[in-house]
Amino acid sequence: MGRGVIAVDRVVAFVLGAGLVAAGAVGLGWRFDLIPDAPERLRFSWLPAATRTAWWPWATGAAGVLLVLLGLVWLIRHFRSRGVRRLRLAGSGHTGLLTADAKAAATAAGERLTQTAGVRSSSGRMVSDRGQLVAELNLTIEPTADLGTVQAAAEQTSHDLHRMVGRDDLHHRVQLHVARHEQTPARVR
Amino acid sequence: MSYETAKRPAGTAAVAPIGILAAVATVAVGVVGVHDDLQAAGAVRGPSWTEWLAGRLETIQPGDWTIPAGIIAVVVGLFFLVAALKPRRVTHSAVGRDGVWIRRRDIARLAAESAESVDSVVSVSAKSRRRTVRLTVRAIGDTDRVATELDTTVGERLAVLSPPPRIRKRVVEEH
Repeated sequence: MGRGVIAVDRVVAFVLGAGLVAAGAVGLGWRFDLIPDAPERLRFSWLPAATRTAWWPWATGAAGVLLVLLGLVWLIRHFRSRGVRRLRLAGSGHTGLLTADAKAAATAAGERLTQTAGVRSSSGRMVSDRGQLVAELNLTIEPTADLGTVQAAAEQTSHDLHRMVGRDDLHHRVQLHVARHEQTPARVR
Repeated sequence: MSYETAKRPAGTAAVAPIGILAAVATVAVGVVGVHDDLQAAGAVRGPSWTEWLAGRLETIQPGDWTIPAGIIAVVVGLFFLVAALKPRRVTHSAVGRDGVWIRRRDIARLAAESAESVDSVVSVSAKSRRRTVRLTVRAIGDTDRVATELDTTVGERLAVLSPPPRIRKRVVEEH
């Protein structure tokens, strides 16, 4: 889910919320005669007449198609992956394009971290997060792991990944998860 | 070369479910419009949905229905407003200052593991809040000594967090 779709959600929720509060308050005020000079009833006699005109089906049809498309795009944006597949590398120009498999680079960095004491497993990916290109490493560590050792190794590997990719706009983030129980080595018979 | 750290991890926005519902509602309203167009063209049988709705809305006057409808509208509206303005939840704490993060429940797991290693401790339950780790420990023997050792052991274990959390503990003597 991107930043843009959340911004749209916030604006829509705010407008709908303000509208509902206002409509509810006006409705209650009307019911309890708290609004001075309020009419007894509101008549929209033009509304049924409009639905019987020749242009009405065309208008509803066009608006309907537009709303279906708009709604579907809005819905899909909520579930779209933020993953970045390929990275354009420094040195690309008119003569050629240099790209790298973004996920493979992040996965390799994560794999290297599994050699650190206390790191059980890892996964890595490149994502576009709140306007930043982010190399995101997720590490599962043992409950007995030394946090300082893992932190130092994670920072070092992130710096190595920066040097390898060579892009100034790359950001890094390492997220640690602690396993519930310590992994016991398989019993040898 | 600069090693820029990414923004702090954040939970899902509270407004996202409302956005998803609103998107589905937009599609549903669109379907009504398309239905009436097809109905007018003779491709679909039955009455026009918008004509039925226009008939219902022709005259509006307050009645008994206005009270529950008004209350529901205000409550739902307030809920939408709060969700629209609510910032995304902070889910992680920093480990050091260079882009390494850990979830709260994982801090609690590390604290519990450290507390279990203290001599005389029988069982531990740990909870982690924003700035505090709360330990409930059952121990045999000298509870004051256990409390002091808990401070040292768990404090050292979590010292790398920035800022290091406060450790609140309750040591219960096991008989």
